[in-house]
Amino acid sequence: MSGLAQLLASAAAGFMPLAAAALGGLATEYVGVLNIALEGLIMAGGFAYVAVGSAFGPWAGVAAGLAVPAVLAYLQDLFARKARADAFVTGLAFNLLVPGAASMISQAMFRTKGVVNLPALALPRVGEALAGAPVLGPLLFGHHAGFYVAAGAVAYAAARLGFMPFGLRARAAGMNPDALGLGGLDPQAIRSRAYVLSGMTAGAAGVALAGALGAWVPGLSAGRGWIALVAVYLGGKRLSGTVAASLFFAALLSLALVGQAAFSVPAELLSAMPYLLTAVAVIVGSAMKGHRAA
Amino acid sequence: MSSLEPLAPAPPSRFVEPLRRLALSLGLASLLVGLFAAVASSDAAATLRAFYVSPFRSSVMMSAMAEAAAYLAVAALGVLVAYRSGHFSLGGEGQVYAGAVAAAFAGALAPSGPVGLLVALAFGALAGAAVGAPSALGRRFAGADVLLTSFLISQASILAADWLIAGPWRDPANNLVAMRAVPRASLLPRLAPPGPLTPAPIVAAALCAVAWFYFSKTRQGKALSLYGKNQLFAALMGYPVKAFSWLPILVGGVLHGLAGAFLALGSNGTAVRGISGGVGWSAIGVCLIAGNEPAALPFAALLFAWLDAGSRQAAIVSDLSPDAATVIKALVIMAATARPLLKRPKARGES
Repeated sequence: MSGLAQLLASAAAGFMPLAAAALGGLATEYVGVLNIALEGLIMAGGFAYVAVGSAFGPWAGVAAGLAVPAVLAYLQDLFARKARADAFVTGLAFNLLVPGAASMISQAMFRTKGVVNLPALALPRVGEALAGAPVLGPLLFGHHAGFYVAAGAVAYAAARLGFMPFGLRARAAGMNPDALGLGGLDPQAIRSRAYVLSGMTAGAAGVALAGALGAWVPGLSAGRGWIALVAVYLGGKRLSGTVAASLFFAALLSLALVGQAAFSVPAELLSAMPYLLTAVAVIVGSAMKGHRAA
Repeated sequence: MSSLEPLAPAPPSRFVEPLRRLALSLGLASLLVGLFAAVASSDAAATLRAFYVSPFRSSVMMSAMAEAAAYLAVAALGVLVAYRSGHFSLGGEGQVYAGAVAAAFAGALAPSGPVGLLVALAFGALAGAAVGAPSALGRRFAGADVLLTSFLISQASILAADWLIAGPWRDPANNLVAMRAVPRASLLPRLAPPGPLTPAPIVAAALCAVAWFYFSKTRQGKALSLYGKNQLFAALMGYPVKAFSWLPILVGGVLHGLAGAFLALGSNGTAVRGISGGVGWSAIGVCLIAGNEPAALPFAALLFAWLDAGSRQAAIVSDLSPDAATVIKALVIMAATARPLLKRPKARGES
């Protein structure tokens, strides 16, 4: 594979999990309560995939990887609403809860709280023969099946948010829940659905990450949940913007990854670059928005 | 509306809510410890002893707990200062790590002794501020979201610190991935050997007291809190809103950096890879449990330190995972913000 093809394949592989999680975050931003727990939900998806997949096979693992974070996100929202707890704090607590609980369950199930390596759970690559086709080949083919699970989640979330009544209702629930109530719709139910969607898409990201490795690795999400939240903001809290911001960040991460092999710059410094560049982008973007407002 | 004021219930004391929150957190943590001992451990009695007896059995264990609480309290104060000004910073972990690395670096190079210690502490605090500075300046001059920029800069600084410790600043004579050891004379003095107790808990308590005084008793502290609640109103009142928009973020960085310096100059004696170990994240939980009240921070930090110490002991004497503490902390944080649990008793006539 040429350098450019490698870069494209790496960017695409990084983009799908990130965009899936980011669109889930956007759904909750639409209803006015951004789900800060994406990081934990990605890990929940990855762990559920490995835990259930180890007993019932990889496809049962995929189903669990989507369902478990969706249920967790629903419970998270339910707790925040019923207990009138701060949704932001509840999300932060979930980010603490999931890795701790995963580690405890891992200890009980696999007798280790470290890496659980199960080669049988490494999802197969799809369409490897087509991966050599110019430009679109490395972008669309030759990835692990988990990549396509995440792609499905991206397509589903984008369709629901951009082209179905749910997206409009979610935005209405965020802007004026009382007006939505007067229109005969239940804003709380819509908020719940947005949370479930965020859990499902974040879970898909977790499945993609764990399925590519065929392993559970503590800290599997490696900050992707937070980066997804950044993408929501960087994208102006819009569907197209969030997808574009996810692409931007995935391209930066991919460049850093490829750069590690090409340059003699330390890996840690190259890995730090996407974060720094994104921070600069956030600050410059805010400054430009401020100028436009003025 | 003023005519209705005598009928309104007296507002609860400033300390009532944090106290109620702390009592609730302690009660819930104790309940969860019991539950975990019964469900997730094969030897419930040993697990309970590990939580309720072992951490208090010796002065060494108690002083270790006090030390851990000190780092947490100082870092949580950093969270609180930013939060009181309406900014939620997620950059604590990177600021603590940078503080530890800078303190270890300066401590190893500076003249050995109290001067070296002071220089190391100052470097630690400055490094924390340096990691917080881009977010502070981004907020001041571009109106950038502190939540986002603080997290991004923190992640980058963690990676850079990892590189420094494992690369150019690594001590080749050490089997651990660690920096050169700081001379003993430049470390925080041990107050009660062989225990690890240093002046850090005293400094932490003093800083919390100063913060309590600042926020409760000074005009500027009250103005800052008001700015955090309503920036427009604060501007209309003529408060120095430009300074409030960035200085607290920088002060938060200083405090996180200081917590990191305490970590490196305490029992560690240098900075090892991953030395911050989640202190920055736990500090957010400590701040929330303390209800953003500086006077309650040391007690909330002690609660977290106790859970950590207990779970470590439980992992040694029974088969309970040390991660039980993390799970309990998360559940306590969630419960601590649940309004029905915190609701104060209604006054007569209050609907």
